[in-house]
Amino acid sequence: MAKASDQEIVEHLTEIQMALRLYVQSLLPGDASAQDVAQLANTVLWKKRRQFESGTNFKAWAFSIARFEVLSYRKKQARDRLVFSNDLQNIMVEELPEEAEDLQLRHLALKTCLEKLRPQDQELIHHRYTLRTPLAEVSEQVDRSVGSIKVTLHRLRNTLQTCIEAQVKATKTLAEGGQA
Amino acid sequence: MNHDDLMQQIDLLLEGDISEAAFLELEAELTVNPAARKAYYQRLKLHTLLTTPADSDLADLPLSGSNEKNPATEWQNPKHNETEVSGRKKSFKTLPLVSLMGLMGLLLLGFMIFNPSISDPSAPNHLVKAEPIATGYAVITGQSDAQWKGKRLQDGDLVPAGNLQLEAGAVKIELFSGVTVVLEGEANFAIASPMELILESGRLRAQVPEAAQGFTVRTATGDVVDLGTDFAVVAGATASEQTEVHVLSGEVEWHGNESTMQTLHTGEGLKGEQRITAGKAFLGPDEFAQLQAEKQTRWKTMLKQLENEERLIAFFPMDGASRDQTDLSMHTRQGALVAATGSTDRWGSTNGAVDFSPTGSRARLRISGKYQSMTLMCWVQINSLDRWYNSLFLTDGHELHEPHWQIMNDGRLFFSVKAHEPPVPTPQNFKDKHIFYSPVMWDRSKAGKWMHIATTFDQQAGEVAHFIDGVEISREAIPDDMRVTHAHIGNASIGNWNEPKRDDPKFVVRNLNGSIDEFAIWNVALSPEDIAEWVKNSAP
Repeated sequence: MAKASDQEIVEHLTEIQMALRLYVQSLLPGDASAQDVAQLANTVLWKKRRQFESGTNFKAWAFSIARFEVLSYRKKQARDRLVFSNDLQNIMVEELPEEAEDLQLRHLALKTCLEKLRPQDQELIHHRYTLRTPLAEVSEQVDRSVGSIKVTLHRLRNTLQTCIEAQVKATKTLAEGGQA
Repeated sequence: MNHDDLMQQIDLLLEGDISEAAFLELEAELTVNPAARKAYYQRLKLHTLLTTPADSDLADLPLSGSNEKNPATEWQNPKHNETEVSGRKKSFKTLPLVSLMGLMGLLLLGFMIFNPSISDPSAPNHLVKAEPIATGYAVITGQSDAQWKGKRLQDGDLVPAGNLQLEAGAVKIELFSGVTVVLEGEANFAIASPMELILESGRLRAQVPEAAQGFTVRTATGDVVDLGTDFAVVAGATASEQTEVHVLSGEVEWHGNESTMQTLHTGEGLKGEQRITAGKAFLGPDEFAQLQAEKQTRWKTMLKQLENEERLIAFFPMDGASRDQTDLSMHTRQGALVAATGSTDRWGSTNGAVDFSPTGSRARLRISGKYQSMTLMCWVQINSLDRWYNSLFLTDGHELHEPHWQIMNDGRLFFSVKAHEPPVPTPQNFKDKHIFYSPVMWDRSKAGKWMHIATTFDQQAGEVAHFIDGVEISREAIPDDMRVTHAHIGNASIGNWNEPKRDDPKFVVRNLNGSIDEFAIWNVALSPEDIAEWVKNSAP
């Protein structure tokens, strides 16, 4: 069991900063404290650096600790949580890496699909996901009920999803044809 | 559950609107139905891509679909979103990684339903209060005669948040973004994020790797934004002194508070708003390493003088590569390592120190003679204090007039000299020695850091004092009934304790979980000035 040197740890930490931030941020989306939790995770990682064994996966180790920090943050928030069963969590952790492989393809497809939406729908997506405007505010602006906006968003996600699946399928078919 | 219902529930889940009953139903469906999971993953991916932080493709959606900004680098410099930084390179390759992380995050998000209402701006403060630990974005990776105002910082320390004052010397800091900065005192600065340093006054040189382009140094008169470079900034202590920027290689942007943005290239500089030629006399990471190497050489040269030092009883430099340990004092004693292995010393040299963490580790030595007073000192790097007693230097057994020097598991130093042989039968409350404890001088935050420990046993002044890193942390009078005619050592161990019963194969675990370097015993109680000087000269 070889312990990593401080220099090694600094290099690892440096390398995973972005991933760590995004990881924590996506665990706490829209939460203004996400960056602080990520920073706290950094500190904990540094304090626990003697526990890291050289040659093992630093990112995996870091994420497990970051996940714990998020959990403990959640606990301190003392809010209700709904948690998937361990069985389901384990299945998902196993299946997820393969699922993630076509993300770049999907990102390109999403861009095309977003452009096909009506301007007011693009605007709504923009508010919901980019500006994170509270739905109540959007509701006032467009003079529609929050419930009806939620329904529209659900419909838009379905539309985008269908479009993306078609694009991805077409691209994959094309790529396979090209290789043959 | 039909497909429409399923998608409805998944969206409610991702939007944080799901009821507990619906959640349980969805959970059951996802557990048994691979097709349902597939649908969930597809939706998660959509959600991830839509919510990729600072995704400029979405931000600029109504205008154009051909924006080339890279969302992945936005994190590095969030405060510069409004001041467009040119030269930021597109690195699309990072997208799958970023998105995978996002996706994994979302997966977990499914486990802990996101509730947008929980945002609480005061939360970070609560966190800090609940867990009193320093936070930071950077680590100190080298110091050269650094003198700090307030809290002393050491190599390996996280750089704390808030203003820092380096009164003299130089310090090398590595930020988690990959940026290396060297600051020369007198400097007043703060590290605001892995990508942002505030320089109120002082000299700074920064080397910025490609991955950290956009690194910003803020000064009172403007900001220097890096575009992949090696540059220096000199900020004056008073408002009348003009800020200087020197580009040693690459390119930076100067965003003056009162002027338009200027780009500076290799060899170019600015003083105030005046163009100048870039200076060269800035301490950089390379020169810094050179400085440290020079200091180590100076120290090694000084050690050679020790053979003429009459006050020195023994000096073991601790050679991790050899079983035999040679005493550099005029007595040229021989010691031997048992089980212990080599470790990296405080200068970073392999096998320059001895690691006593393997069970049974010790350095055996024999020191004859009687001593009125003495000083024990060494450099030590402690991994943990997980034994009740953690040995520094102990004589075998527990004989009359013999010193024991160790660390309690609560972080206090322990020093004693046995003053009385207990009579038989031993009365209750009989004390054979006085234990001189220091205040707590070690906690987990110091794990793995080199520190210097010294203890003086001064029978002339009738006092015992403990020193950490050359600074006295406690001084206590020797009780009258605990004075001894002399102290002696005989057979002893560094880093462990040999019990009196030699025929008993069982032994207590007291070896130090850590490394020791440059162990010294003096036949006098060194003055606080002597100890401070020793540490100053021998510290990296």
